[in-house]
Amino acid sequence: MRLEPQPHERIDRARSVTFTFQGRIVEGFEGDTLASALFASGQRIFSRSFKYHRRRGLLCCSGHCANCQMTVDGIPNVRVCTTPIRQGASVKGQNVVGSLQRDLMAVTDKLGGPFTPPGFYYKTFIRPRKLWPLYEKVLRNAAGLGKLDKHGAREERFDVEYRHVDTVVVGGGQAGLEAALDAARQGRSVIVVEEGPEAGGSLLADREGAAVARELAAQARQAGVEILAPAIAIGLFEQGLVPVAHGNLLLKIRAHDVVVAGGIVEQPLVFPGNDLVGVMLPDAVRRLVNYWSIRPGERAVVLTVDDRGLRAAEDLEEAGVQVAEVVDFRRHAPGIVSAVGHKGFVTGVQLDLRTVKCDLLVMGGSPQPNYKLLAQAGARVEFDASRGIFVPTDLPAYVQAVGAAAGDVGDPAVPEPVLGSYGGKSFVCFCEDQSVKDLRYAIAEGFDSIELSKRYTTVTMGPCQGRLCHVNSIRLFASTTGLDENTIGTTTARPPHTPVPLGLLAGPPHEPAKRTSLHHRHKDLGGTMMWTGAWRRPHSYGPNAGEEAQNVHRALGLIDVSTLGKILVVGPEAGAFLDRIYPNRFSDLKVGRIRYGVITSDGGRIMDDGTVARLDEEQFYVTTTSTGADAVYQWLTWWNAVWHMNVQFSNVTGALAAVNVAGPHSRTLMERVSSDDFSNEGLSYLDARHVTVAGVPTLALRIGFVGELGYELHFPSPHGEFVWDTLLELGADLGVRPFGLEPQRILRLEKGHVIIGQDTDSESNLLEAAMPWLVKSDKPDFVGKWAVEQVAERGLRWMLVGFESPRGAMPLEGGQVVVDGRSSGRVTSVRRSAELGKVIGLAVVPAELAVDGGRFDVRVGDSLESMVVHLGAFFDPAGEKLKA
Amino acid sequence: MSVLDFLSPSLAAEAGGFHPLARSSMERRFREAGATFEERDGWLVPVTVPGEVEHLAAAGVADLSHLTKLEVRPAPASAGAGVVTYTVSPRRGLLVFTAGLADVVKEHVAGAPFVLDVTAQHCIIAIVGPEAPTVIRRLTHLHQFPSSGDVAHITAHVLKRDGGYWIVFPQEYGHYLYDVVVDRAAPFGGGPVGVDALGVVE
Repeated sequence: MRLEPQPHERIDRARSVTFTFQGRIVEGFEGDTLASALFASGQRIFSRSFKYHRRRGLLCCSGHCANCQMTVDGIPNVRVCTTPIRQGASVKGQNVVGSLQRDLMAVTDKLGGPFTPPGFYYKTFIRPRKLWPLYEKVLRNAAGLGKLDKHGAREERFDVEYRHVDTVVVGGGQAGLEAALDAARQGRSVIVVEEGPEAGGSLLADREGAAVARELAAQARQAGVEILAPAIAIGLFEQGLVPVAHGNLLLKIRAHDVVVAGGIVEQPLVFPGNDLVGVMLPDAVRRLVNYWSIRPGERAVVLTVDDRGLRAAEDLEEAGVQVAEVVDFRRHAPGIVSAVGHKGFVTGVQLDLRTVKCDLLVMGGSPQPNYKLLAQAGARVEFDASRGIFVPTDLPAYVQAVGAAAGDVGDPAVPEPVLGSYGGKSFVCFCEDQSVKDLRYAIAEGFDSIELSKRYTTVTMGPCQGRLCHVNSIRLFASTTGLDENTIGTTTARPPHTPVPLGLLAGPPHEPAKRTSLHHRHKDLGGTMMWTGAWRRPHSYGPNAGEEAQNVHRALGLIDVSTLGKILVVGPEAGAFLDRIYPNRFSDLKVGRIRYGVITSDGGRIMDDGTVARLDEEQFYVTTTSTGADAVYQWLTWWNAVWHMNVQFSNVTGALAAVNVAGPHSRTLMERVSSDDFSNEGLSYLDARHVTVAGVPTLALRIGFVGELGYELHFPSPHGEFVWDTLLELGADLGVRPFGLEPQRILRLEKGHVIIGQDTDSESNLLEAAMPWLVKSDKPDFVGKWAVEQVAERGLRWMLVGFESPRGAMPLEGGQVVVDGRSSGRVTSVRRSAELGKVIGLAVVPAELAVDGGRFDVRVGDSLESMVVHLGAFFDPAGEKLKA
Repeated sequence: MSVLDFLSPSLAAEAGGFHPLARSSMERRFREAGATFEERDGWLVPVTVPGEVEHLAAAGVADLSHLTKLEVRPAPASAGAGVVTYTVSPRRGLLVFTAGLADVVKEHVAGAPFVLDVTAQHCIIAIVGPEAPTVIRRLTHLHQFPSSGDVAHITAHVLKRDGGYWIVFPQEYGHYLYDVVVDRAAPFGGGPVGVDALGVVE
């Protein structure tokens, strides 16, 4: 029932807003919440409880309990008591079979009790075992919260923002605003985080308090304080990190100081019927009356341990509610309290031997300081038995608590943990439907620590996260076990402080892909892109990778190898440094020449490979694998931090594009795009020359991974598309085509060239990877030398060899090598070569099989296929084409 | 001629009928946004973009990758007027300047033990406008500038420039970071702008 307009009300009666609730239109006003509008329209049942499907009405109106959780616009578990009304919203009850009014599952409240004690699913529904999947399905459907629409598709944007301030104040009530103002006047940057729609806290529930709150907030803003509302601090981490949920924005606030002014959480009293519809906390009543001008009942009884209940009684009287009785526990605590109800609604309350009729029962239990965030930050909490509350102590140096959150709550009475009873369910945990009987049952079963008991009964594990049940459960535990509350302790406070959508924690998606300067050209040419580490690379440009490979043999191919790592090693000791890093030697490499190198770890394991070109006496240009650039760069700098040699490094991987021009016509093409000498004499195999290609300064490397005459051109990335386009244009009549990674793999396999990480693993060494020629043991030392020597000394056990498949069977990469019926190695690479007309590959086999013509079996499907060892390159073994 | 000339896009020149043009790794994205390009100092530069006036009123996102960049070791104190000098560490400095100042700057750093042209290595995104600080806060935890660290999950340098910010980052992330920055600017009405909309870049 709406009251007449009040000067302090928050609704704007000139702006009506409508939404639908379970198919019917509900009208409210701007400033209402969905719950207040529903309540004003006569709705009293807001949910059905988790296990017993009991009718539940508004309890806290503060977003703490789970009583008002509904599904709004398809989103389940929305607390409508704090959700602003919005036009056209679709609101529905949840966790019902039928309706909120008539839920068929309410039968569990009548019949389920004996079958559903705490932990019943460990005892009752376990035989026969094979039916557990069915039991589980039934139980999950019977109890729970809202349901996600499996077929619902919703796009929602979440953002993350980083903020740095001197002081963050959690809680925008009087204490918080005053603390913020104080800090701002000292010249500090301040953010106030208030979970309500506006700053003011409990002041707003007070008829005269609203104006005070607004004035205080205005002063704070004028002093430069930033007030965020609604915004909820979801944790309090070390070094002043306070993540805040502000709508769909996650603010990661880093503050020098944190002030927690979160006020109190009103605690329910524990007595039979304390969950009946019409039983409310004092703040809920005051908000209904003062915020939204709603009369919450006709005839009320107020039970209170402090002045909060008295203020609620005053507000009720102002609103025309008949206050039948006010029971102030400070004067007299009744021995027996029991709410009486009819069809789930309160109709009266039994106080000792009397029954007082009412349709509204206000229960004001202990004013528990909101300490959870402080506990997350590492504060201790101590039970103050004289006031029946836990108070935070030993706060970390950067954290301060002010106001009620610090324990400044006056001297409330301390109600009994359970207010005597004639029977019926006395709820301790409203969210999880855990009653006094349930908790005592668990204690009797031996779950005698609060952490164990919590996990067994699930008390404090529901949506309220212990806000309304933690204190009462511990006090009940104490009274049952005879231990005191401090001995029992509290359960661990963990973030998030309040449930948040997973999307908020995930934030916006990121996929930091590296793309070469030729990326769009590959897509323009029909390339199918794939991931190689963090790089996007073209797999191939058409349906037949074999044909792409053959075009390199017959005519001319271009491949983008810009992803290769490129590191400059520069300085007077650059050559000597490389000699220490690599097993082979580079200090004797002539200027303008290239040498292949493999980097090994201290343990002699193969780490990476590439080429080293000597640019001048003190400058070397090192290439690495596409995914190894950063690791190799770190390796070089790390070792020089040990050796302190006169050498510097620069990772220029992204600075340079690189294109491999390969095929019999490659020289012809190069002569069209450059006036430099690309003859075999001018640029011999393994030469490095500074040239100009189409007007672009370029380092040309005469090397060949793919087995044909070829040139690897390294030039500034920004000229990538220009050079590529020029090569394609001027090579068109020569049959130039781009080729991707897959044809490259075929081509390199034809040459028996190893791919580090494909044909090697973390245990591979140079000797057993068939590269003994790289090891220069006469060097005084190099990284991994002793390990390589150990391998030589103990003898070779394995060998990486080439093989052919005589019958054309194609084993899988990673496929088992089988010798004498035992797994004895693996296939590392395998492809069908159209050029050679056979299936070829590389495999790790027992060393004794590493002879030309040797045989071993490989599992292909269910059978074993015989393979023949082939040592050396399959294609052009003498390298005549490479060196032409 | 230096053996490291192959790193310098500024040394590309017309020859033999070839007219080399340098492109930023964000060029395609700006083209898709409808940008108008001009050749400047051997680069195709996005000079105007439709809607840039509105975008600048919130957060304009511009591509300044065509600016010349040198890495100098050790870090120089300054390199003269018109040169943006960022001390990455005492041992490394980054100089950013327009191509027209190249000769002056090279003379200034001629005595440095190590000078490397890193123009091609880095892209620069400029974010300018009243919402630029908010956009930056949605990209990185860095809050004191200039600074280096994680920006949208890549490592970058962030400088305060021209009433806004420059993000200097590896060019291979150009496409990716453009998408992220424009996405962060969009809710405020921000978006891509041409370099001419920023005025003189100093």
